[in-house]
Amino acid sequence: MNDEQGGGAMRHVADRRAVLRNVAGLSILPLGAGLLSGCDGDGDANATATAAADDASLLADAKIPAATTCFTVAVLPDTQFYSRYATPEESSQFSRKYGSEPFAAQTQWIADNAAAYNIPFVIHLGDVVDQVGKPSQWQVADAAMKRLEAARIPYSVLAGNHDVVAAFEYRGPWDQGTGTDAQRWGPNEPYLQWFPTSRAATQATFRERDGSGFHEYHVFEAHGIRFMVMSLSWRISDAAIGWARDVIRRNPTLPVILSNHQLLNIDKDGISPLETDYGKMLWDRLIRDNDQIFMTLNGHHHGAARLTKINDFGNPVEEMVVDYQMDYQGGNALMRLYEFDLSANRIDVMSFSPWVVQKPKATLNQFDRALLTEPNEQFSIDINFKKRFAGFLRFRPVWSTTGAPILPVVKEKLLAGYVEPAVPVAVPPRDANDYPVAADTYAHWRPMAGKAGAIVAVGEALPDATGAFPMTRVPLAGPAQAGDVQWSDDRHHLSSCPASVRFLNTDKVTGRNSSFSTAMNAAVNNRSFWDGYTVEAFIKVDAGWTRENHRWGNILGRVGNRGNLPGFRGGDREASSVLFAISSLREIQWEVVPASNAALPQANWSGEIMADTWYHVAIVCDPATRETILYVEGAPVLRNVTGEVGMRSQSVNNPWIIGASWWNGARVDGFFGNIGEIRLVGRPLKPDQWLTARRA
Amino acid sequence: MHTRMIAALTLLAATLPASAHAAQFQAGADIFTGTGVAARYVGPGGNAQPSNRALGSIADGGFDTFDTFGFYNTGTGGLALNRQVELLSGNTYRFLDTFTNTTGAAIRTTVNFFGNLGSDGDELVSYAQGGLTVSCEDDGDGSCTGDAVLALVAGNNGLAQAAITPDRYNARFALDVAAGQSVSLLNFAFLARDEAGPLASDVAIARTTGQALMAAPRVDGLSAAQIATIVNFTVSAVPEPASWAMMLIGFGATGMMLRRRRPTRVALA
Repeated sequence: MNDEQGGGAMRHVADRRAVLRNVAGLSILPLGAGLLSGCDGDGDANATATAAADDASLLADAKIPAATTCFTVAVLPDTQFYSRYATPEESSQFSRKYGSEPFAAQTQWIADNAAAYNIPFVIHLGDVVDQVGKPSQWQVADAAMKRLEAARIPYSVLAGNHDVVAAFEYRGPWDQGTGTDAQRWGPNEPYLQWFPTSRAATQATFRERDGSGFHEYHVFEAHGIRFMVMSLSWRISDAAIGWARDVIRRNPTLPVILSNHQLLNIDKDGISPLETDYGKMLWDRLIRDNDQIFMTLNGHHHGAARLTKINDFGNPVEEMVVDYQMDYQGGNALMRLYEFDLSANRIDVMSFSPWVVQKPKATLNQFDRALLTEPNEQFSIDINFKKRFAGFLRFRPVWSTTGAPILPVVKEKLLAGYVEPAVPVAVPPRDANDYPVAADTYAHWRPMAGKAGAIVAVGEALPDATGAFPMTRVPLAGPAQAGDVQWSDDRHHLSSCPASVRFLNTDKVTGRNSSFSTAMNAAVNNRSFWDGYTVEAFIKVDAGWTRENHRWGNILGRVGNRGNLPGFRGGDREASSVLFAISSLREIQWEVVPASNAALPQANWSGEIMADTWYHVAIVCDPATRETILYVEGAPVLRNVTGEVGMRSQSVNNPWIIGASWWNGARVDGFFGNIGEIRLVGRPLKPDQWLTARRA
Repeated sequence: MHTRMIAALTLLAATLPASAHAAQFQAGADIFTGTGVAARYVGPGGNAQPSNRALGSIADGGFDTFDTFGFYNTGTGGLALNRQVELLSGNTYRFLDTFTNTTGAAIRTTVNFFGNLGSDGDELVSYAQGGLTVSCEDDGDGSCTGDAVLALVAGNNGLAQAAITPDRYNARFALDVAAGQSVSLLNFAFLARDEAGPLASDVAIARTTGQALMAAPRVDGLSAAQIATIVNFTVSAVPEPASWAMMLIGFGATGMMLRRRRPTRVALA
């Protein structure tokens, strides 16, 4: 579409007042006539146009083109897992399975379609790579972004927490002296080597970086309107905030899109916005009194949400978070297009994957979605651009005389010939037993309901739904206190068990932990799962989780040194043979000594999970394929294990443990947070047989 | 700068059928209460979270006259704020904002009563003297259009420094508040608009009503204690409620007379 044609045509905004004027029958011709055009030509627009057409004098003014004036900004949320799992060190998982890679698929799609879809600019939201110290991951990102450069499509990029050497979380206003760009040593930062200022300066839109080199701004133009993209990296310093404010001051007429890695979060329901302390700091110190900032974009927090805030000038600021890294295949190349429809006074948002439609059909499954249609993924924002920018800009775009809405065309072409696999709908439980009972259930521990807030007494039972192998809380050891374990009514929304066990006060530094165990001589202690297994757990890491005090906290374990297993040759011989834990990077670790070959442990890992968020975790070992897959919230994560089967037991006198692990005779590495129901099944189960499904 | 100071009103030929002009529109009960909008808000100042929308601000007012109006956008300088905001009869929003110094020392600060007008930057100011500003939305040709005509009243004793730039209303007040003392600011926003659109008569009504509010601010329903704290109006100018009833009748009569004339669009040159 060539929206730049016919730039001299007269045109007015079809805003709300224009509607009112027409309803009132006023003959203010150009304003009313603006209603004749629209983005989607839906029923309402037609009706309004018809009403307007009743006024003959209105139609007499033929200067109004029936065209849409719009452009599209492409947004790339966290690409970290695309960079990581495309590397040879991670078995080139994408190209091995699909013959292509998601990061490259995204940028190539933009390069191929920028002209057709009028994309003047691309915004990367940070976490370019997963492991900052791995050059191979930077190479993947470098190659992907070079596709944009080769096509001369300008972009902004920023460093996320995974892109800096020391990624300290923001803890409060007093915390600006640590972990910001001001405390980093530039030559030590791979981000500045791979995406230096000199590289940014090759973008036609690039204007400037701050002194640290981490933050940059661009100016792009569409339909005669110049927009600024202020791109701020992880943990901005006071000095850089000053730089950003100065940049806006020096460009007093430009509407500003603020891109960050972190700003807005998503609440527990997965839809509602949740403000972060860092976002509030940015709001107070940068956004609220700069009327030019009309929208913000950020990644980092897994999912999607948006929030409209009112700034000091009474104007809305649209904050949006999007990050797909915890979705299938580390995000499955999902990305966004923001269509700015200047004619309809609207920003339309589309979330889609240009990669899914390229994948071999035989590889597609229920987690492959080319287009996301949920309300937090596909939505429109009403924004009267003239009104919104009135405080600093005379809004006079070059109205198009040709052109049509972009996103419907993108959608149509994207989905042409593509059949999306059916997606099961998650149904909340109807009652406390609304789950599929699985044959070969060895144990199913379900916390007791109706006791929320009560301390779990030492010796008190954690029931087993099979009735065979209840656990009990083990005696206090070390600094542990009775009050460190409580019953809770907090739970995952798809768990039919209306309760959980909350582990408080866990501290790795002082060795404070609490746990449950099966009885000695319980037959389940001696299960080795030769026919494969499905282990499920609902977990929530406490909001106060810290790397120092809570890393490697265990959900499930077994008593006994794994080095005692016959033929074991691996390291950490004093560790448990089952490590189901939260790593120092807040990944889920599933590391077991297989039954079929006890020589070495094999491990699955998730990406980073969020604190204060419930997750369903399933580990499915299928003896037919000899593959063990870790699923988080139903999505298989990338590092799957192929090779061995089962979990080798030691003896009937080596109990299972919930809430801690084992190291050479002692319980260690306690879990910090809530654990809901846990089930052990001696065969692989499909998703419709999991605890997140409902009984027949 | 797109705001134009206008010296005189010029009546233009009418473009609307006379039957379209039946009555003044009714301003909306659009005062933000924290959970919704209503005709009245009584409570603390500040902002609801997470939206950051100001408590007691007016969202729209009707015909898009406001885009959030009537709040203190630069803070209160350490003073505690309580608000009584209400839509009075006759399309008049009244803001009684009481600032209390809860500290142990005197506070000298400037507060800014702010409003975003819904004119998209196209504002015509036809009158701006003392604490009264009369303005409307410019149709691009120097006439009022769309929004209601506004009479914004910020006081009659010179304390207020009010301006519109370009479509943002700012009324600054320098306050000296002793420890433990409370002072109040009284602001008014009067809206005049024929149901079919703003007319020259609406500009006249707004100016007349604004001047009346300057001379005798409406304090009906306020207590004597509240009135005693008002610092931006001279106390002697406060009329009895009965007097206001008579004045309202007078405004109504003026409006009716103007409506009986041939409908016009107004141009401000």
